[in-house]
Amino acid sequence: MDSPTEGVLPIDIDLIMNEIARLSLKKTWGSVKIVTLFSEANFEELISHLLHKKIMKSSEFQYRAVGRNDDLELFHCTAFRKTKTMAIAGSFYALQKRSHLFFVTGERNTFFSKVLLPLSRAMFPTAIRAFVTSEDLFQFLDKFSRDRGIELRYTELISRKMFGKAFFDRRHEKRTDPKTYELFPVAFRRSKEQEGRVDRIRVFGNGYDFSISRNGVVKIYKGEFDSFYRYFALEFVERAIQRWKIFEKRSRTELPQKEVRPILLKFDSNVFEDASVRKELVNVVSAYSNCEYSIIHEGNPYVYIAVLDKLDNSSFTIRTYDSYSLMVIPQIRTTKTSLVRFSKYLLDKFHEGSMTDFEN
Amino acid sequence: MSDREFEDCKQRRLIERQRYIQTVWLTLGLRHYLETRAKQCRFVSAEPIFHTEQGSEIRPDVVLQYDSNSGALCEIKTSFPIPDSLLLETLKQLEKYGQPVIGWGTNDLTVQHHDVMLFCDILDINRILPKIREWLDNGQLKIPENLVVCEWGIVQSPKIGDVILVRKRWGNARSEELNSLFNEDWVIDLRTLIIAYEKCRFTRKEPPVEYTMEQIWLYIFTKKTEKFEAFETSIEETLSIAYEYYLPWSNIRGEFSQVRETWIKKAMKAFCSIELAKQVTDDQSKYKVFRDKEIDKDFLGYIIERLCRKREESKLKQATEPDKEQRTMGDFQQLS
Repeated sequence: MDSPTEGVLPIDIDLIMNEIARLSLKKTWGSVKIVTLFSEANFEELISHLLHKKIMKSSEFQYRAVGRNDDLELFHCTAFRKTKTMAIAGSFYALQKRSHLFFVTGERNTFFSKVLLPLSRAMFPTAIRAFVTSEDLFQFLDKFSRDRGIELRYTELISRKMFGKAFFDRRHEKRTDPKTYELFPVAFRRSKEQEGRVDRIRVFGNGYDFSISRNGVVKIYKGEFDSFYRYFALEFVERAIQRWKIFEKRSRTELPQKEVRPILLKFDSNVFEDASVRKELVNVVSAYSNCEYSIIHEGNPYVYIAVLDKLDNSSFTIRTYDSYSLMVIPQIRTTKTSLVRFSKYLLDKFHEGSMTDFEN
Repeated sequence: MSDREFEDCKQRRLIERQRYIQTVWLTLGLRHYLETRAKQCRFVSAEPIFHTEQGSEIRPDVVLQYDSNSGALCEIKTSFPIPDSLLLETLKQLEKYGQPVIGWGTNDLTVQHHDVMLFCDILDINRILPKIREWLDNGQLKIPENLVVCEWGIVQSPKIGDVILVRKRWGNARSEELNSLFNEDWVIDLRTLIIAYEKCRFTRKEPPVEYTMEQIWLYIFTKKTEKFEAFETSIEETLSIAYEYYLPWSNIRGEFSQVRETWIKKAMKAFCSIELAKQVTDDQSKYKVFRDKEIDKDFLGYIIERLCRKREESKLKQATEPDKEQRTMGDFQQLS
């Protein structure tokens, strides 16, 4: 954030949000959860798109505006969803600032995971969940820790290896002596040593206790809302927007000479050297939701697959380029949202890599 | 159809599609190699139509121009029939290539001499080459112009990955430059052709109908709507999108475009036969496409399976049978 006031909430909304957080955290095992999203539609438009989605057949949704200040709006929402085994109701706040959208709730995990997250998913592609890399998580924590002069130590760590395989590092005992916990950079180092990436980390220090994850969720157990809003929620969306810029103007329809502009997804290690990994990549792609695909080449030594995204009728091909990288090749119509969705899927189910423009 | 026949059908269609893709790659590879390595010998086109002096049409896969007086007509083969009689019949197509032909990129559309180049699959060459020599010697095969035979294949290079390998096996070209390039194997990294393949998906040979269906369904139809929903379209509209994105190799539209109207028509008929589309006018020009129909995620597997099931129906037979006027040597591979 360039301006020092950029991440500061207007006083009225700040008071509301901090009050919500305070009340929620007063409860036993209480926590405030923030889901971070990106949307260019205003909130009313977003809801009208949501109403046509399948999830609404088993859900009820209501909202009202409760605060408005310059480019920021706050809505109070109530949602009810009936699943096969239970009926869940709860409330949350939607805070929208330009293309940044945050859902904030102090409800229990059941509401969060069975109602709020599915609703957020159903908003795709009108709203897209922000997601970042393990490196981004490190940078966010580092900045927060330096600016506030707090030593952050970790209590829970979920790392993911290739194909989304997770490994955990958790301590559940009562924290009598914080010094017995390792500083957060150790978690990142350990994860990397085991060929994994940090997917979610819970840290504490000097009155703060919270977790952040690559899929853009902040869970607050202790601390005031505005700090988390400024150092994490906003940063999640900013970083995601920055990273997704690479997906812009890739459709051949959008380019004057109808060029083909591939993207290269580079991994840290020579993952495709191993034939079983290449084979597994085919399985991962064939399990991708809402798609049709066609395998152009499945044998050695490369994999080449066409993917048609049914969510917005766009397509792209992917091809292993060398042992270290995967090429994503946009086609006649390849939307930014379809590339964002697929890159998120690869992050979850395959491996974390860095995106660059392919230069022939 | 028995299970065995059904499996054979699926396998055969997959192989035909794979062969077609390989032909596209080789054509791209030859163009790339000559553009980067040769100074005089030019890759002219991949969809030319030539005529013999008697007026019959010749459609070589690739045309090379050495200078204003000479060039080469090239034929790419991914397979040959096994029985000698069919093999000879296939090779006899080259006799037309060996006559003086009209259609070169010169002022009077002719050249003084030209070579005939045959690119045989690396797996066939040791069977085919002795036969060619035998039949040329005993006069069963008559090719008045100079014949050059090359082998080609997509092979694995431990350092690079998949490469196209081209090696001259018999004869000498009239181009000294080409002969000197033939002194070593041509190794073309497939990765250098990826972007070109996205724009050049068709050679002048008629593709298997499944291949055209894939191009239409997975790419061309994405331009129709922003939602995955049923829509109406016409042959004309589909063709115009294909023209726009799959540019002609020779940069001349119309007759020389990569995609032919007849191919699109056959693909649309095939879509109808497996209920992914329905004709809405009697003249077969307009169709309703059931884009949103729930089908298997593996699109190619889905259409091949259904096309094989429909194989016995005469409707599909018509849809997939190549045009009589476009029959070339390449079509004989289907007999093998």
